[in-house]
Amino acid sequence: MSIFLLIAGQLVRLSLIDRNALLELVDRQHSLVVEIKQSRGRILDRNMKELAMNIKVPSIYAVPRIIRDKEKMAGTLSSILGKDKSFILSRLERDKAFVWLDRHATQKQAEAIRDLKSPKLGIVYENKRLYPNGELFANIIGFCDIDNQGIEGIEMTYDKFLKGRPGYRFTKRDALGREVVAFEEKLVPPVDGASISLTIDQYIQYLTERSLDEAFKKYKAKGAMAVVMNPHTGEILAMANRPTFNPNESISGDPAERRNRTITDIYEPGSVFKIVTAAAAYAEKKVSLTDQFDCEKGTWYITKRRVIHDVHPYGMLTFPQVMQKSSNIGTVKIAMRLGEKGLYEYIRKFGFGQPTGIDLPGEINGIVHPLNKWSKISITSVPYGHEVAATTMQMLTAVSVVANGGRLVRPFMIREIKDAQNVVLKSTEPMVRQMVLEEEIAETISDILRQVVDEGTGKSAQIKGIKVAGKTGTSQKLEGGTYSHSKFVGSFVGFAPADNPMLAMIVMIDEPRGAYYGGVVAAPVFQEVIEGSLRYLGYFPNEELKSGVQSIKNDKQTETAAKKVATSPANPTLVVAPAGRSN
Amino acid sequence: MPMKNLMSLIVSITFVMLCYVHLQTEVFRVSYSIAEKEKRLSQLSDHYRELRFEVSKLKSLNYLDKKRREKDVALVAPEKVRTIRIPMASPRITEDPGISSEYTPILKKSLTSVLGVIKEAQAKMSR
Repeated sequence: MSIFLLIAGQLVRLSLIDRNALLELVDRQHSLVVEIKQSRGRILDRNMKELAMNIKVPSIYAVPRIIRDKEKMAGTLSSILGKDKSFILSRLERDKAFVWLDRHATQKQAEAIRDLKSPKLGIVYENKRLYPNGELFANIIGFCDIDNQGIEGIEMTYDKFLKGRPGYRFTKRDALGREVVAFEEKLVPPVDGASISLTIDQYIQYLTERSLDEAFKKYKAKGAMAVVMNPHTGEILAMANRPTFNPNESISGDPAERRNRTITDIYEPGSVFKIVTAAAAYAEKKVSLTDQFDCEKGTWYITKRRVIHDVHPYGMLTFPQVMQKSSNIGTVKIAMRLGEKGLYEYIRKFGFGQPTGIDLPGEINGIVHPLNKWSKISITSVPYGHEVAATTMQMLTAVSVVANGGRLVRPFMIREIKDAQNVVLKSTEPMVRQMVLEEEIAETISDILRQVVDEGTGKSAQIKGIKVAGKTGTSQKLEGGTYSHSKFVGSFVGFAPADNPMLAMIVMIDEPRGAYYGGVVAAPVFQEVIEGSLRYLGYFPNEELKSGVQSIKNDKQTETAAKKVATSPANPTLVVAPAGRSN
Repeated sequence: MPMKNLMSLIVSITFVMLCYVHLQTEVFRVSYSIAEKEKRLSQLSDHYRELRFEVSKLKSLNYLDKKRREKDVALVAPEKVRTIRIPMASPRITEDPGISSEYTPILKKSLTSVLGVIKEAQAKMSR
């Protein structure tokens, strides 16, 4: 009887008195919430080639509280993981239930850890962002940290689109902690990150990086940059920086190497800026093509203390010849006809001193002093690109005004952002910021720039059978408030084919050694990249057309190829308005 | 008689309970099997992703260029390029009257003729 009462009492206690506590215990022991990792969004080029991918890699952890012989364990782990024994020992000596030993280890290391069959060690598989092209695109795309968070470039700026959201599975587990799938109570599916398609073309990017790298190494330069753009739409087809980094390797070293300097760094553009001065004076009808300017045999004393020099002594030069020979004196005389106010207005119209609006992080304004801050000698400096500072992107956008018939376009690199269900979250359409020049004016300036390449300082940019327009630039760097005589920036900006431009490009070599003229260090890069890119886009030089089977007229061919640049499978409706000019 | 009924009831209940237990064990067994297969699937997809990454890496232009340099293959862009444009209009397809474009398996044909029950869907023109 007493046993019966004891059992009955126990039953009452378990089922009534301790009911809630026991239910809670059961719930704690059997309920399981499994996090379902989402996949970070892909980054694709304009032809849908993957530029950033995710793979799972093992990360190794330990449970220090249950490790007895820490010294021995540290020794074993040190040989497997290739890490310092003291580092591992310091981790194992922490009074914790969980410590990371190696995040993103190799499969081989994980296998070795698994072979130890130690309950004190564990392996967790984590997503890792990898970039199949290595250094290619590195400064544009950026990279992610160990927790897969974007910390540079597109990875950082568009992190909210790329990262997605993890899902959860509320389910039950058995006594051994194994999940019982059939008892799943609730499923919150993960939301994978959105895919970002860029305007970049992998092949043009490769050509650009290859040529730029060669020039960078050849001239032992401090830095180098290049951007290729469709001048009609503002689509960036390639953007390269040197020095650069490999985002697949552990990121260390100078953070400057990781910047996209084409939009974050400014420089005095030098002679390439003469395009703005010439276009402004011609647009305002202050000069005509036959006007002559006395270039003072290379040395012009404006005041006793202000002297302007040309590289070569010139006498009388016509307006186009001033550009062709890149005469500083001639350019200042052209600017003086226009006046400070007129020049300033056009500098602003060409987009200097303000961001281009490119959809990348860290773009800066550049420096254009307001008119009231101009000194008396500013009009003798600004016309050839001194006292102003611009990014390479600003300079390229400005030259595109001449290439596309007078429109200042907004450059862009993000074509489309689509979620995992292919719903378009964001897409970019080409945008004209403002009309800067009339079409005829742009056409004339384009002709002058063609002469620069045909007969002037930009001969190294010539491409057999293709008309090229462009301007060289060589500027001295400012050092301690004065212009250095040993540190230069050589640049070239231009477009091709000159009669119906498909591609505009800028090349900038910072502090080259051995040679420093833009026509020598930068123009060959332009020539190599543009020739290769035009071939790739289906445009072939005239001579070859004549000897080939093809009989389609050049203009028609250019138009077709231009459409190829401007359209893509993802955005077939985007059609470029061709400049419609021919020489 | 009531004893017989009681026995039947006990047997039935026992049977039902055994079925229940069996079902429960099956649920667990199938769950473990699903979990195992899910794990395998996940491993295979991870491996697939790894291989896809390797393929992308091997196909990347800078890697190919590096290999080209290593192997010293003197590849250069052609000096003369001949472009042959292929007409975009779709070519006219003429059908050989000797060969029927329709194919029906012999067994299916005979079944159709004998039973007359197998019908094939026919697309109709909208009016």
